[in-house]
Amino acid sequence: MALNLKEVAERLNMPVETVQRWVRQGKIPMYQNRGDYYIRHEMLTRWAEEHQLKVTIPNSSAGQTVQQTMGEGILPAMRRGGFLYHLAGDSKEILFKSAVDLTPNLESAERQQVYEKLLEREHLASTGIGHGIAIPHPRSHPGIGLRLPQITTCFLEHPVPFEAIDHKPVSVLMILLSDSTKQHLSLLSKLSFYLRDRSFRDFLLGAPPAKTLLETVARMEAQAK
Amino acid sequence: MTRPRLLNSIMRKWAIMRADNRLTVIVMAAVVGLCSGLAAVALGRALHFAAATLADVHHYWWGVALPAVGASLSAIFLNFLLREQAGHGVPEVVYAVSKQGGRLRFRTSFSRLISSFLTIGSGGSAGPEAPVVISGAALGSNIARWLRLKERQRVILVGCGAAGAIAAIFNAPLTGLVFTVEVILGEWRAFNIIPIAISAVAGTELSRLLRGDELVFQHQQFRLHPVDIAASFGVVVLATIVSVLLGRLLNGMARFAHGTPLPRWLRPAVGGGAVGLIGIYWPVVLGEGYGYIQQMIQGAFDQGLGLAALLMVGKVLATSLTIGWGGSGGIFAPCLMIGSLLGVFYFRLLTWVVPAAALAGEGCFALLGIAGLISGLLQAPLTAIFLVVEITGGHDVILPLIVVSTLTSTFCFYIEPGSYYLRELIEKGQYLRPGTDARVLSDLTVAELVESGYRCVPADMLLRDFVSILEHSRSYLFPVHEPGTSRYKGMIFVDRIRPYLFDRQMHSVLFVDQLMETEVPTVTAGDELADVLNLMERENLSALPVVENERFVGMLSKAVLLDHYRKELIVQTSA
Repeated sequence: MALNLKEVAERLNMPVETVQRWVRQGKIPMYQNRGDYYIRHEMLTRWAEEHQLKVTIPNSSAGQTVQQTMGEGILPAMRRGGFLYHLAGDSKEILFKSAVDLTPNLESAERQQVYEKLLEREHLASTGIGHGIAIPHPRSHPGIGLRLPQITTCFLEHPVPFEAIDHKPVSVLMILLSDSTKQHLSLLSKLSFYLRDRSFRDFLLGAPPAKTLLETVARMEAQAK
Repeated sequence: MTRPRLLNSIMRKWAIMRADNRLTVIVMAAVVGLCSGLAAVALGRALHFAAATLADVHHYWWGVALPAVGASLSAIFLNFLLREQAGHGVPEVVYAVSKQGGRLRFRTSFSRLISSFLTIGSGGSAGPEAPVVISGAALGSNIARWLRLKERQRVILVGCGAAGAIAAIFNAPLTGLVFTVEVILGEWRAFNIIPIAISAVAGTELSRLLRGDELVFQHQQFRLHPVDIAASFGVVVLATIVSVLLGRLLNGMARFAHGTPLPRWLRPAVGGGAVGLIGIYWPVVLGEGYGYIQQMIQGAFDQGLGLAALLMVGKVLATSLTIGWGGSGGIFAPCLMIGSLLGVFYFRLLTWVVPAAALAGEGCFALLGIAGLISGLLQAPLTAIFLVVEITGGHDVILPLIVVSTLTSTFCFYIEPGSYYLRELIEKGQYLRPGTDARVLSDLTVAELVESGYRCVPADMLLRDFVSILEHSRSYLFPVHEPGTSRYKGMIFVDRIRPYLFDRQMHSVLFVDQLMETEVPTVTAGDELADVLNLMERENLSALPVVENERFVGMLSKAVLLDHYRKELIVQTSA
């Protein structure tokens, strides 16, 4: 396989101008054919080895799988996490306990762990982001066997004090669970982005039915794109 | 008024003279050259004596055991008595020069002489040059140590030892000089050429004085015609094939011997025994073979065409058996022997095919064969040219000589880059020539380049607090450590967490350890910089955290590295 200047430059991770200069100075053995310079792949590999340079093979398919789950919005995560209405309780402990018990896709052994992790996180700092909404989530993820991230939306029976930054009691919990920090962060920031929208917040506080809520989120995500 | 000024200037010059030890090096070069010459003469005499005494023994059936016992004894002597690494000598010297600043142990100055005497004297097919080279080099190194010379001067004295050795053995001062510069030091500079030349001359003179007329190679004159130049191309082809074959066989034998379950001291016995077997039929292959080389150069070699070919194959086998299985000795003399056999064989083949061809003579082709093997296997074409020119004492053969040397070394380079001496060092990345990238990178250490002064943030810090630190900081890299234990956990790249920085809602929700990158590779103070740079390139990062005992020490960045690299290169390359 004969490579031209551009391909050589790509493989050596150098600018074409540099490779051109090397050819002119006779540092790299490329031959001329109808005005263009070429080098055989084997020769380039050997030359690079002699000069302790790395030859990389350009590829385009790397990192696609991560990108796919990273690129997806909060809608599938909300769908997977499900919705809990009229969640009763007066403290974080009781609320988390009953919410975690009802959260789908968790093994029974994991529930206790998730519960503890949520509480542990809450002890460090409240996840109440104000305006009556909290986004409880564990700080680290090992031990949770979820393959895909999920957001469980809980509408509380009555507002509960949550030590939120604006000191308002909380009436909606969006519990975010995932198994990797990258996905977690990406979802968290997307969720936070939508929650900055005042009309969406008000709509959430009204405990809308799952179907309308999902439709609204779908519309918002379409707009955001 | 003039007096004090004159006195002052003299004092100043005197101070400069005292600080500069060029003169010391030059004087010591002569001493080292004499010592090397002495070692060469001593080993040569001892081998001569052994060959004369044992000549008859090789004809008996039990003579087979002799090279085996000798090789085994030499391995026991080296490995158990002196605890030295086995090896043929020259690579160790190159390694010492490129990696150890020329440090060699004192015992090395005699150990190889004795072990190679045992191997070669008992009939093993190896050369005495490398043992003498390493002995001379070790002497030079230790003299430099006693005089408290710095690495740079020590390396020169090591080179002086090698030059004196080769010069004394072949009665060829220029060859000693060229060999040292081409193979051992790899650097032509005024400050190292002069002492090396002095040493080479001193070694030669001593050997002439002590040995008088019994010199190994006597001068020889040839008359050349254009036909000879045309015929020399055939030598190139043959020499390339034989060089590559011998190199592969040596490495293959060494690998095979290494894989056998035999103890290290017994392995050379296997090779030695096999050599002994070959030696029953063809005693020519035994020992270093200087006498036969001499005969061939003089055209007095009386074996036929077929036997020359067989002997060549036998010598190749015997050499790889001796050295590959762990016998002690060099590859230089076998190269000469195989080369001259090759030349004789080629000459006889030509005269047999074309009886009318008016070629210069068998001796001339033996010399061309020698040049071919040295430039092919050892990748030392200049040494080959100078050796043959000095042996012939004239410039008559120079044209075909250059053809053979340059072409053979070029062809061999295509097939197997790197000489036999240096292949292993190159593979291990220990072959460092002055002024090269590898040299500079291996001299610089991570500890010299690490930048401290980075602010560590605890893992349980809220993003809100981190942002307020960020407001007053110029850095964009923050190492994260575990609160309490201060163990390094990860790095924060400010440029990668921008979406969270500007989202105020996230400030009270996220912790620093959720934002950090844990997959950033870390570097320790002992890492090789070449590896670190490769890591940076692979991960596409311009700085890496240096972590020692799980503590963050600082960052190692490409910018600082380039700065140091350039200064280091300037210091290393300016004379």
